[in-house]
Amino acid sequence: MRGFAVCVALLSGLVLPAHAEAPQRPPERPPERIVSINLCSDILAADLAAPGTLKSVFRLGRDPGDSPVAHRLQHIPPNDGRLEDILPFAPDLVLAHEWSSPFTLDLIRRIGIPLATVKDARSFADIRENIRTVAAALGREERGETVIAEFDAAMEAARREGEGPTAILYQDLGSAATPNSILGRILSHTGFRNVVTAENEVGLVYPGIEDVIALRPELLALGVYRPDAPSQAKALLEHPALRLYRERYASEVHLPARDWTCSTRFVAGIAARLAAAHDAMTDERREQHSLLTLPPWEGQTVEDGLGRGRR
Amino acid sequence: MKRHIDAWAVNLSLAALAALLFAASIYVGRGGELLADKFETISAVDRDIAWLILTEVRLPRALLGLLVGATLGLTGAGLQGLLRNPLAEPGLIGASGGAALGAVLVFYSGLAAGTAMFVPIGGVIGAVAALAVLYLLAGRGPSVVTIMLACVAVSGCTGALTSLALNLSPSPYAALEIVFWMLGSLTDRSMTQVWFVLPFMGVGWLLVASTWRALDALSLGEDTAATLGFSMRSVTARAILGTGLAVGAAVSVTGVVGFVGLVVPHLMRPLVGQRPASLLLPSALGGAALVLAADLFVRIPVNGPELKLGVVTSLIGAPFFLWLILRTRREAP
Repeated sequence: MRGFAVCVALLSGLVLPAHAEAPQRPPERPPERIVSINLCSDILAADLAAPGTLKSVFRLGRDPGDSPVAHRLQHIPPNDGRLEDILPFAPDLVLAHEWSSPFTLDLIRRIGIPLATVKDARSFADIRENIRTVAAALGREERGETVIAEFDAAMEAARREGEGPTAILYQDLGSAATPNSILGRILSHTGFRNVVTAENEVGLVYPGIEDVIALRPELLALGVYRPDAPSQAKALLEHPALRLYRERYASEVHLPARDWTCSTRFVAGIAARLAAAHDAMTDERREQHSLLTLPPWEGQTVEDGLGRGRR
Repeated sequence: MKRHIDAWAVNLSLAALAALLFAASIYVGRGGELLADKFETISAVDRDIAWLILTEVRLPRALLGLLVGATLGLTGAGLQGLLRNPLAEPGLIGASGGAALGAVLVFYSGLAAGTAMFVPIGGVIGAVAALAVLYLLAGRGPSVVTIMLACVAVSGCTGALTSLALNLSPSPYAALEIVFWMLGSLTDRSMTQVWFVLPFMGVGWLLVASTWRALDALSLGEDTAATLGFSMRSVTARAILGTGLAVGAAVSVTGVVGFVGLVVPHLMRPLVGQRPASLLLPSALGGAALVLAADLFVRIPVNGPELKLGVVTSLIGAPFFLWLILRTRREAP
């Protein structure tokens, strides 16, 4: 009812000034009725919000295919990110993404509901910054620092040094992560050399299957999103040539998309998987090195490659 | 007699052109990169990988370009003869749309998980169903207007249903996949798919080709054809079933590649004459050449995902379509 009243007031343009600025600093009293309208802010809020204060989350936040915190949000009602969905909860803080619909964000600002947006994190520093942004908006800075410390510790544990094996991070639709994307940074953090060297704003390039094979990565890290749903995008990863290459010449690791679709602290899970792959590959290489007494870079052919299907 | 020699010369040179483009399709890669250069770098390390790229990536792509192009050219010529309408084409009359719908329904319902063979079957059923509906809608001895209206209805309906099916499907990439099914692409297909579609296409081609005499007779009118001993029912059934089989299989692997079946027979007429029968083979060869050429064209841009094949064929086809309309209007009093 209150939502409806606010809406009428807004539409008639009587009550509120058109550009009521949302308070950028945290209010004196920490917010108690938080609504998140974006998957990425859902994930952050699940970590940071005080119990019982998160009143509604974006529908994808409750979907195990997309959200690493889905199991913790099942009891929270979903919204579809529209103003109509938000108002009935009478929020005193809305969490959104910088890429959320600008019309919705503008309406929220004009109504005067405090708004905090997270940004598209492209580096580990961005991930920390997002945690701090949301923690500050929630008035829970301490909790934020704890989460950051946990994240930093997990990333430190996954750090691998040196000129490691070559790798490509290949996903549905045939896109590969560039070094300046978050996934590219995790690759180098865990000691891999990304065979993709081009960088661009989007953080993705689109090598065809033959290009992937020609780059000869020793590790194929495959981004896996909703493995049960059929799509042409996914059929690409099952291309016989790529499968043969994976079986004969390369190691393979699967990276569930829910941990990296939003760059949040959960990318540490991706780093852990890659670090484990790195360890397995370097162990294997060391064994071969001692066996063949050949420099490892020259010892790779069909017979003695690093692949899991090694004969 | 002279015309006969001409037709053979045309066929031979078209076959040579298609063969040349086929070789180029294997030889030229993304951004114009040549196979020899690539092989030099790859096979210095590992010959098997070079072989893998050649046989499992480049060869199926070129083969599918050849097969799909031939299918579209042949069925386009066949349909124009059968319907005695210069605007008939698998894409425009809804066969391709129906095939896409059938393939989409099978692919996204999870039926294809059993065997990928079901996808071409779905495409074939969809294409035949769309053609059957069209025939029922248009009725006997239809006017051009009736046929075109029925085509618009069928294509519009199948397009909308395909989008609906994709939107309702659990696929996370629904919007992008709609683009694939509507515009078509040969990128990164595999030999498995070539083997799947080949039997359907082979039977379809033979069925369409078997109507060649009847198509000539039909150009004199249905009654004349009947008095010459051709059963309209049998001819129509063979042409439609053949088109459905070949186009259905093609679309289920590459999506809808538009305008090829429309443009190619018109390009061939000045070379081999108006007789529908003499158009079939040149149209098949010309269609193969056109699709292979268009597929070379989409490889030029290096950044971002490759263009869709249908973008290029439609860019060639749509202006041609307009020119056709203008010419038809000029010829009509």
